[in-house]
Amino acid sequence: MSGLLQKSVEKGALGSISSVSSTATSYQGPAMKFELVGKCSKSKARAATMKLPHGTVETPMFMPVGTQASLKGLTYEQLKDLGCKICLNNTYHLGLKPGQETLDTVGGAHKLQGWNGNILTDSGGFQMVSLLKLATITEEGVNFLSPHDGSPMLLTPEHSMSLQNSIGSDIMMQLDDVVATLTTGPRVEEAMHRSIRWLDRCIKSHKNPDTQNLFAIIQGGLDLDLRRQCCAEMAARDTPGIAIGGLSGGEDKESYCRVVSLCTDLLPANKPRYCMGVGYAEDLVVSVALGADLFDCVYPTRTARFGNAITRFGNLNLRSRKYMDDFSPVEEGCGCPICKPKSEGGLGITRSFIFHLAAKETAGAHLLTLHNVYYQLELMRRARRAILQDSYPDFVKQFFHDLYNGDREKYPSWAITALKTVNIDL
Amino acid sequence: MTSDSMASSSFQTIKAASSSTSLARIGALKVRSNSSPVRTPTFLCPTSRGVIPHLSPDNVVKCETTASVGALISVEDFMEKAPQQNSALLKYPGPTRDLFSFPSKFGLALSHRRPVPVPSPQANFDDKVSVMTPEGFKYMTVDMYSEFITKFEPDMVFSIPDIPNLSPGGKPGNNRAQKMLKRTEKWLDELLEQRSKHTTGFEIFAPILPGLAAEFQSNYLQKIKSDARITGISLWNAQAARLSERQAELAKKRDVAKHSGASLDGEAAISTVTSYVKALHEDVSRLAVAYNSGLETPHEVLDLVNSGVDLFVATGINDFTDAGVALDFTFPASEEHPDFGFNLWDPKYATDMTNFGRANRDTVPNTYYRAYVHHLLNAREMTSWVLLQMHNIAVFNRFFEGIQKSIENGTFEQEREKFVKVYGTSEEVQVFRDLYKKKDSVPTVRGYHISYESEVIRRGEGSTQRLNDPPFKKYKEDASQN
Repeated sequence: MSGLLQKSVEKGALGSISSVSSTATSYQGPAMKFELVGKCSKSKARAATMKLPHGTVETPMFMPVGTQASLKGLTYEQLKDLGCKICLNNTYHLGLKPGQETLDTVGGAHKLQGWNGNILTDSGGFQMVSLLKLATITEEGVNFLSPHDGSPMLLTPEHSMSLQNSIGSDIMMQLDDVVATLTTGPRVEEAMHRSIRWLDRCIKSHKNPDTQNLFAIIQGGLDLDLRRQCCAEMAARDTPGIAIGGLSGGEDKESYCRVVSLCTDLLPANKPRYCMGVGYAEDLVVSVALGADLFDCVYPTRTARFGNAITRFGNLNLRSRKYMDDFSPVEEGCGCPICKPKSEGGLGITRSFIFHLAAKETAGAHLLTLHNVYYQLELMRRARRAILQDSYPDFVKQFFHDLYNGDREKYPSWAITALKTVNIDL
Repeated sequence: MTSDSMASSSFQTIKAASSSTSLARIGALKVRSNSSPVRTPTFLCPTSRGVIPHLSPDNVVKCETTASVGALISVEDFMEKAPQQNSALLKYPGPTRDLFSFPSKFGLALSHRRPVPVPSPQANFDDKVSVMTPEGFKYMTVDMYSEFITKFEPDMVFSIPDIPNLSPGGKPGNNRAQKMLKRTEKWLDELLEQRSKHTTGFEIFAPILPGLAAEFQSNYLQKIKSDARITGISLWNAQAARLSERQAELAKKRDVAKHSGASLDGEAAISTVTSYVKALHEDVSRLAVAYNSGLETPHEVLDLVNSGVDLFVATGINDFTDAGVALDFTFPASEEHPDFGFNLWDPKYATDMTNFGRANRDTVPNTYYRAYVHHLLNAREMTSWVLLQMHNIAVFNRFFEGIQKSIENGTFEQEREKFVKVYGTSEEVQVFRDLYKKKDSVPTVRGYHISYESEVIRRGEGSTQRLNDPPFKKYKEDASQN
């Protein structure tokens, strides 16, 4: 293991050797300082501060997705007011528009967007698979047809790194070989091994290790043995953080929880763990209990545009006529700018008004986007507070109680099972 | 406090028109919500379904609107599907305006239709008018309008005119014209009656009927002049005149026989306005003149200010925003900054890291660059229009402040000429605005906000195309196009 690490350091792709000597509760890399500040005494839930080049992020943290360099319809003032410290951009989309050349000219995505918080970028590989049916994967990289002119193109780990270097994201992801989660058989193993080889290529071609953190991605489908192997290999490469990938693709929740729990057991405790593409409130709460720190999903913003509000008491489809004359706030007691009554400095928006705007005026979507993003951020803030007070199990219980109106019969069995493994009995 | 004494003091001319060639003047309009009287010429921000397009209420607060009297709300936006059912919003326990979370200092004006209404194929009746709801055409009874007025507690109300549904270029016959007058007068009387019972009070704007010569409605005009309960008049016609020109053009192109005699005499809308205004307030300084048919360019504002108009509905802001233009003009025009605006679709802005407009520097707290907005437009991201809208409102706001100053200094007429010299004509800036306009380059169009003109032209061309392109295509369709 140390041999591998030594090799990487020689390549100059990683941070200073001091990272090795860091204690088990903190990690100091050239572009990140990660420090555990609290741990649940029962479950694996943990709270940490993560100092990144563009400010400190307190975990557990949900990161909203600004696919094409803007969070759907919001301005960065609004995003800051919600307390957001880090958001996502998609490498694939930014590579197409505005394009690498533009990003290089203007000096990166932070500058372009006027956003001085942190940015995390994916590798672009996921979009290859999700958007482009004709993508084929070879050892060299992902072959796909350009959506613009249909010409064949190739995304290699080197190209992905180069793009992410141009974007200048604070956290960048390795290119991994993504297979649909439900795939079984040798293809999964092949993808796992290839992802490891691609990580090495990514590390080698990463130009700015002093200002940008490269995260590895654990693959291996739902096969726990493959995941084990992958965790060991990836951890050995000593990237500043590690993501658990290849999930949230239609697998059953039990398997999801098993994989996450296994990975958090094996991964170094002093580094952030990022559950990619996880976004439902229940998944967040359970995954935090299983030891994950970072999450991202388009769900809160996308569902807002369909007129859906995420609330503590369940989701509301505000396009339904039953909300036409419902003059209560979207979520009673919510502290977001739209739900807070006017007397407390909020907007005092009602369900009726959202119904009136939903799917007709974009301002309706903006309002719900504000609410939903706030909800996700606040959920994680509350989780963090609970962890720091060592009352996370109570928080989890209250969360499910609110969500299902106290009806234990309705609690999802996967959540009960998963939480039991970390000593939380719903 | 009697309603009469309130009304008589609501509008005052501060500086009357003094030139023989210009009716431009300074006034002060006092409405309930504004803490102090707003200077005129001023503008209303048009809304769609109770919001200024693209802006959530928290962003409205951040907009620079010091020269604006408030927003215009159109009641047709709130009509519901079931004919018997009134809008659910009427059930709101407080005044309906609170629902929209507008800044409390914002004056709200109420109109039965949008400033640029979708033309209706139905005829009006003695007690109801045809309007376009989000779910199709429907009748709004005058009673229902008054119910909305009660619930909204607006600052200003535009009384409903009876505008007939004419064939292109047509003029109302004698009988129809009589009926127009009779109904409009009756509806105005009912509104005056309602106001006398209303607790909060609101300013009433009486409509002047388009298409009828000022002499024809002289009795009606006389009545408006002498009724102290009326704060101002509203003009509805220029849009129709402009449309007729375009239709005539189209008719010529397509089928001359079918539309024979369709062309209006091309009489400029503006001069019509002038004639009405002249007939009315040459000697009356207590009536505010509102022009609530929307406007396309700042040039039209200047022309109408010159014709004596005090209050505008600034629909042009939305048009520029939707077209991706960051306005940059000022009044007086600046020779140092001769850009009317920046059409941020232009590829030359792809890497332009300058702030996207001068007004933007101090209105939008963050720094947003032309390159960014260009990228957002290119990516069809909604944030582009949010940023542009906030910026363009600020530009219009300063434009109106500039107009007021120049009238005060007596330089309005020469500045108006210079404006055209520096920035080009109204037609030129419209061409500039629409340079990159394509179906998929503008925000999603709804049936209720397609403009009057484009709808008529669309139908005139027999177009059965959808308003918007479908967001997704099958992969193979995509490929076959390449």
